[in-house]
Amino acid sequence: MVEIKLAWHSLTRNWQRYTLFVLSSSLLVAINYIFVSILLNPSIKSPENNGQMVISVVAIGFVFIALLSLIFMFYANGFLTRQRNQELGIYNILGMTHRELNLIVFFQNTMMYVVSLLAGLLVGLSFQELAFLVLRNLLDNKQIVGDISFPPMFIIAIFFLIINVLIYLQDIFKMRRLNPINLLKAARQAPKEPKARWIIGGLGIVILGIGYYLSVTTKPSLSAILLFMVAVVLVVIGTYLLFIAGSIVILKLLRKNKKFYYQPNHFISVSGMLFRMKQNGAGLASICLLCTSTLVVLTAVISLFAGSQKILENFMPYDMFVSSSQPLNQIQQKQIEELALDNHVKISNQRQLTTSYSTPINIVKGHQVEPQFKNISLKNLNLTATTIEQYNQWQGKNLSVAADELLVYSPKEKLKTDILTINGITYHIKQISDFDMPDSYANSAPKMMYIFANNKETVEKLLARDETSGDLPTGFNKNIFVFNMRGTLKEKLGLAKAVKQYLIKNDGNIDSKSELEQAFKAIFGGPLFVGILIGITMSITTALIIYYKQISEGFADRHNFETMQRVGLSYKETQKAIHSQMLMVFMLPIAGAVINLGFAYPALRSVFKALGVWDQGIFATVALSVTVILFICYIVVYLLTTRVYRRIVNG
Amino acid sequence: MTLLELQHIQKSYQEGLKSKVALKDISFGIESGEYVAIMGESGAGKTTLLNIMATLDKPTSGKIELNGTDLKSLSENEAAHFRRKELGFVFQNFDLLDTFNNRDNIFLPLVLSKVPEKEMQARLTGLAEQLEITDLLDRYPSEVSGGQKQRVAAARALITQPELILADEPTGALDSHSSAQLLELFDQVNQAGQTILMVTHSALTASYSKRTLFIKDGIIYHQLNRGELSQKEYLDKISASLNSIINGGSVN
Repeated sequence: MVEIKLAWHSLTRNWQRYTLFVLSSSLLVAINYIFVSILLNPSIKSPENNGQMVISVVAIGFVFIALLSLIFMFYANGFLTRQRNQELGIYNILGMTHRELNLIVFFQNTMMYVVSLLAGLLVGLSFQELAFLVLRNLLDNKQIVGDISFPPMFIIAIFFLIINVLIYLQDIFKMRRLNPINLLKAARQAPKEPKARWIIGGLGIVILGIGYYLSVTTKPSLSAILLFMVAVVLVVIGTYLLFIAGSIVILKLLRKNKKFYYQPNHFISVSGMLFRMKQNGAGLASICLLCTSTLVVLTAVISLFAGSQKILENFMPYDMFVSSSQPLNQIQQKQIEELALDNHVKISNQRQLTTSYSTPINIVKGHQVEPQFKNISLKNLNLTATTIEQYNQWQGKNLSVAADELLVYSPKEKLKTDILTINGITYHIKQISDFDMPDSYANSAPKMMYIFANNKETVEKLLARDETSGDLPTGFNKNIFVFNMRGTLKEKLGLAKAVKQYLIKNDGNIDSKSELEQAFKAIFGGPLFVGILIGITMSITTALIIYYKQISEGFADRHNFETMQRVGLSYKETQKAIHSQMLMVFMLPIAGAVINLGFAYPALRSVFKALGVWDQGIFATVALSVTVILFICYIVVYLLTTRVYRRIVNG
Repeated sequence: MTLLELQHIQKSYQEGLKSKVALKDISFGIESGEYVAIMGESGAGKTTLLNIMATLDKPTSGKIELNGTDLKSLSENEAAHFRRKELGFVFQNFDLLDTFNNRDNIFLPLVLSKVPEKEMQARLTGLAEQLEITDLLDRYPSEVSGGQKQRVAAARALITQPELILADEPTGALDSHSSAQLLELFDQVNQAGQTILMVTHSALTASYSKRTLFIKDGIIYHQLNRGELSQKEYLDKISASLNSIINGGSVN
């Protein structure tokens, strides 16, 4: 069939651009395959691996990557068709019907689909083991193993088939407008100077401004995540509008400034950019947003992971935490020590403390303590009361208080009062900073506040008597027993399990840090893994977009530079002009990305605070490192692709 | 005074293993204020010769001097500076940049030489009037006709006040009316003392010049002086020469 021949001929003759397309789509095939193979992997799914958490994060990541793949494939195909349609137009002039042209494109697309699917699956399969190795180590779970099975490959094949069918439909649609006259006209048509669209540019600034404002002013609460999403959407829209319209406005203003404009470098770059902005504003905005997302995602997941140990300490100051309505007696404590011996775990620092159950409160009028059982927010304090005797025993101290006096430990919020009125009785208070809280002081919960009174009777008087307390337990009978453990994770988990079994009739909670640590690995390791995969994908996609941009622009600018060289632009000046132009074009998106990250910082802080995982030091370090690394990669891509551009321009 | 001097210019290209001779032995001189046409069929070596005179290419051997500068010894960088100072170009396909409006297209060589904006504007005002393009300055090349484009290109060549204007088939893409208009303009400019050298295969275009060199197979084959002839009479003489060259006969 002549169509197959022509399709093959065109593929081989223009192999460079088709290779790039096939390479990038096989890369996407590979990454998508890795996501799906994790999603469908039976070893992760098993409940004892905390797999559901990982799976849901991977699923979110997959949706994102799949969307990115779809958009990118259309973008890359756009470059192909633009060049291919010229060739097809010539066939059309020579007398081929649209049906025959469609067939040629069909064969080409099919060949590219098959090749990129096979190559992509091959790459995916070879990197699958690496992906699982990383995942295994991040989650610290030896049971996770990659397997080669048919379903993921089938899903990927179908998914990319759908994308390719959509692309083919778009190709056909574009070809319908192809006729010899249009083609000849298109070749001759010079681009029109773009109009300055002040309104759209202004709108872009306003929308971006609102997005930034939301991000900066978000308070740490559970609605912070929702507001952050809104801010993200606004910033995306604003960035697009600003790059498309705002850049033209700015360039026109620059051109009006004669002193600036009539300098060799500015002259060439401002006029060139003015004309390319119309087509490339969207491209630059995409690069900017991809860089922004890479920065934000990587910063978030890496700092989460890096901070997870600290968060763990915050959540559980002691390795083992047992709470019950009766204090553990000597026999029980002895039994736990024996269980520890059986499990080869050394236990230390056993301590017991009896307190009231905690009550969420509000301090009104500066000193009035009011319980709050509904709409509890992070603003509330969580009040726990006990006797000074308990404190002394726990802390190894010898303090005393008067009957109308309370010691107050409130590490997260220093009280600005000397008195507190609780249940109608006013006490003098003395704030102390010396207390090893037995329970979580994570940021996610209301702030902890402990009160120590002279005796049990006073404590009883402090407790809430409000009927609205509902299911929240009240009363001075919460008994906490804690200890620390030394041993391997497996041994510690063994002891935790044994203690739980032993105290099975206990009516309180038994938590071990080791179990939490395992859950944490799934909670923070999963996002880290997915975040890194997404970060890599986005970086590669960005690099490819930049590469495509440079090639297409190289061909577009080639004629201009040729003319200028004839008129007297030297080789050196050409390089300088290209450099100045590229620098402006390239620094815009990355500068925009860094600014975006800067404004995302407060919003992320709020979200992280709401989740109780905020650590300024870690977060700032990670954000800075990620930015520097991305910037270096960006510069490398910029230099490499500029070289390609230069080679095209200089013929 | 001799402005441009070529002595025994030879140019050969490597084509695979064989070398192809484009120019065999070209020698001629152009005096300041002259208006010379170089004629020849395609493949005769016209473009190679023009590229060498334009410092875009270098001869394999021989000597070429413009105003005492040895063009062969110029580095790429020096050549570029030399081009924008001493030479003005008019091309067949105009070679205007679509991303600049006509004014900025004309300014291009001056901007590259960092001429202040005020002076550029001052130089342009008179020139634009002379070329009747004042109304076109704020438009883009894509928005004006071919004849107008070529006048804009001529303005770009003239605004640097070059020693020599090189025109490569300047009427090649123009209709007869626009061609006549452009050639009359060249005539005027030449009257004012501007040296012009153009390369063409059109006898009509060549007939506007003062002297015509015929190039064939890499050598100057023949040369005609207009003397006191009218443009029409000169055209007949050029046509006759062309005929005899094509027929292989020797001329004088």
